[in-house]
Amino acid sequence: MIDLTENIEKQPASTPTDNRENVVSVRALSKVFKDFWGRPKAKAVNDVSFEIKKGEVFGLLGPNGSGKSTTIKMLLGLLNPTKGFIEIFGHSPRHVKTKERIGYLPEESYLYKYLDSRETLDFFGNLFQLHSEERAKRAEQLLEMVGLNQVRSRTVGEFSKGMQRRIGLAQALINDPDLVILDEPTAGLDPIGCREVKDLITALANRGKTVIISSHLLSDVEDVCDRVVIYYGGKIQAMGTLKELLTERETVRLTLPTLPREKMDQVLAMIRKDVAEDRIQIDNPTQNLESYFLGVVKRARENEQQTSGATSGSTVAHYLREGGEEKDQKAKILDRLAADLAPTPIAELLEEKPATTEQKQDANLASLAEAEAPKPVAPVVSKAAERKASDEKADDKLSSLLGGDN
Amino acid sequence: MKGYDALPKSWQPVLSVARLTFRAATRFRVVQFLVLLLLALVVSLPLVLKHDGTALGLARIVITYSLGSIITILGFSTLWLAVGNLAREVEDGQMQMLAVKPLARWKILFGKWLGIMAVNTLLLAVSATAVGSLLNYRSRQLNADERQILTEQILTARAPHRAPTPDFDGMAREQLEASVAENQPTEFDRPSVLAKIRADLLARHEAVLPQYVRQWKIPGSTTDRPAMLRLKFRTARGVHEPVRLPTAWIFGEINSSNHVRLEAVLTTDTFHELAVPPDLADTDGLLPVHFVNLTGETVVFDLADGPELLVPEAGFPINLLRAFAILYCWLGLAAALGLAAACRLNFNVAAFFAVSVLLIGTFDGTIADVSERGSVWNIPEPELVTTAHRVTDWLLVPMIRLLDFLLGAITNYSPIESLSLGRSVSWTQVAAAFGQCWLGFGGLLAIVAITAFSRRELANPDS
Repeated sequence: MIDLTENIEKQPASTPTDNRENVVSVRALSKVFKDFWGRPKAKAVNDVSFEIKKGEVFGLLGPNGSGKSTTIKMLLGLLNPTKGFIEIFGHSPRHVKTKERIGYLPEESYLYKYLDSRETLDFFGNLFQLHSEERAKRAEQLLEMVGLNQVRSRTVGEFSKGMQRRIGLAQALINDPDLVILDEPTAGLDPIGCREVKDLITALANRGKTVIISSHLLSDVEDVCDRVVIYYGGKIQAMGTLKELLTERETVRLTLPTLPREKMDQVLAMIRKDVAEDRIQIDNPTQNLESYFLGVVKRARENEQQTSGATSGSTVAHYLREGGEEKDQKAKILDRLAADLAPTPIAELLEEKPATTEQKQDANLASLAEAEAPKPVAPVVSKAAERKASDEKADDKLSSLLGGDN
Repeated sequence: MKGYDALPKSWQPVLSVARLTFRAATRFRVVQFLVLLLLALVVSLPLVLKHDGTALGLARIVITYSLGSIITILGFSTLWLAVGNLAREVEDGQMQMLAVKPLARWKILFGKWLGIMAVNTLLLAVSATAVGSLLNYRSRQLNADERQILTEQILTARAPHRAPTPDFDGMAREQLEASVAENQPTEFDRPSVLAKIRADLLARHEAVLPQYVRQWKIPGSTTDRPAMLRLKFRTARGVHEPVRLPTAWIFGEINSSNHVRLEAVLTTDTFHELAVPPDLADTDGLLPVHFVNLTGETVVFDLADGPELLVPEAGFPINLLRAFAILYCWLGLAAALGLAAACRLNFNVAAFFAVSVLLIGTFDGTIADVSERGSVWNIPEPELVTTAHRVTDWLLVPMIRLLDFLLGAITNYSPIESLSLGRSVSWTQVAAAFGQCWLGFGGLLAIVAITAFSRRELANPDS
């Protein structure tokens, strides 16, 4: 495991938008669980500090028992800190009024098993003092969103784990919360459900909602989080934006469309002058399993195959889409794409000029497709391009979810 | 549910929790099971226990036994519901979902209490209807005379009135002081002498010597309808063998023409009711009652059984309603006890605690005996009392006396006996029961429960 504690100190907690409102402030937080006689049993959280800004998607990563769920439960006022300080929207986690602005999806399904999905949402809507018409409207939209509108008369106890997760997510959003805390949000969900949850998180963040995700599924966090902390043994081991944490500054991956054989030979010959053979890696790109699976299901759905469980949610609840920041969604996605595509243009890279040692060290080329076989070289997709394609897909999906004109 | 929209918004979450609690009881079939159990009990008990064909016998079975059984079942079910509902939700994690919503923890508890009381309202309504209907049905099987007794003496609400009890303690002190002033004793055991004087005064008050007349002046006489004089007496013989004695009674002022004389042969050690015509009160509005001892032996009217005038003031339905209001008040306290226990303890321990308290409550007679005797040991010979006995008493008796005080404060309002005797359960009694049980003990339990629940961590390392 890479210890990035130094990075925590060197890097500011958040980047350019530091003037944004602090939604969560945690300082020197510790939690010691004690036995019946008051003797310390386990130090679940040890001197943890972080801040979360408005509109951030913040990930808590760590292996089981690392302290992330304990931290979340202290943020929610379910556990009392042994030491330290927590503020949510400028108030204590136990402040009743503040809870109107929070939505929470726990790790387990803690819902009432004897209520059906409609009754569940109606009950939680009542706790937020929503008017009956508003409750009914939101429940309808949420059930549609999480794909449970066809099983609304079945009690939660009869639901599969994935369906319980979906209704849990719906109840967490009934109050249109400003802060959404999701503990293992994709646990038990099928790949379609996972994708939809991740799209929903992106949509919420685009509306200026703050989202905290606790997960040990790294891909979930990687797909949606702006910033993460990594826990181990109750302590924060690393914290920063994904870009800060994941960029390998010593290597570069280049993705090219298929080149004629002689051109590719020239490129490789040029690279071999400066890079040892064993450091050059060439392979064919593969589609990731999630994309492949989603493609299969999409085709099956187009062929109108029946399912007895939850259907795929298609539309983000309308009340969750309303708001002033909606108009910026596309711009934000484009900003992200632009940031990811920051590396030097390909044309510049291919210019033949003598490489200095420094230039070698800062080499922009990491790998190139090599067409050793007589057949044409398969297209190599760089991480940036892959990200771009993925974001374009997300953008398209969001456009359809949030309305094409937004 | 649109009904919430008509209420103040701050009530919406509380009522929602109450509705959820009620819904849990129905969805888990607890309510349905209890309705069937109560109906089966009310119907089957009089079938199993045959009465003696008298109105009183019928009333004892249908009212006393049925109500006793109903309150026992509902007491246990209320505790079980309260403990189970709260403790299970904490243990299974649902409470986490409630606690993170904008709802103060005391409101969660209050909502749950309201939900449990909604279940009890339904169950008590079913029980009251069943008892009333059964009583009506079974009364048709009585002969005409007994049916009349049932209608006039039991299926009614009669306010009890008694002659004021003399201040025996004050009288004893006065007598002692007078005696001390006259005789100037140098040394004497004051408490012992005082107790003897008091016992003597009480005996003189209760006893009526042969050929003597005893007078009581009882408030609450009627002007438009007859009242009933309820009384019991015994002979001064050591052994209480019921015997039939000729008695003579005069209601009203003897010296005026406005009095009625009644002669009857009555059995000792049995309650009797004598009809007292209206309009016999003296100028102070009190009804003079005279007992003429025509027998050759001393007759004793124990103070506790002393004659009381029962004056009709309402019908049976309203009396039944008031009696059930007191039962409801007890159930409210049981629900608060169950919730308070579950606020801090897990389900098993809380259930054990709550049921233990209820079981201890059923031993109120024994507790009262120990409390009065001042010892848990019933040893008649003082020389047989050992140090071990004294130590146990020193440890246990104060606790038992406290328990007796608490139980007495609750059970003193018992409406069951009153109802089976056609005696009024007054609104004052109902108000006092609610005040003492809900505002007093209930308030205390609420403070304990809210404090414990507000401080409690609702998640643990594993959940």
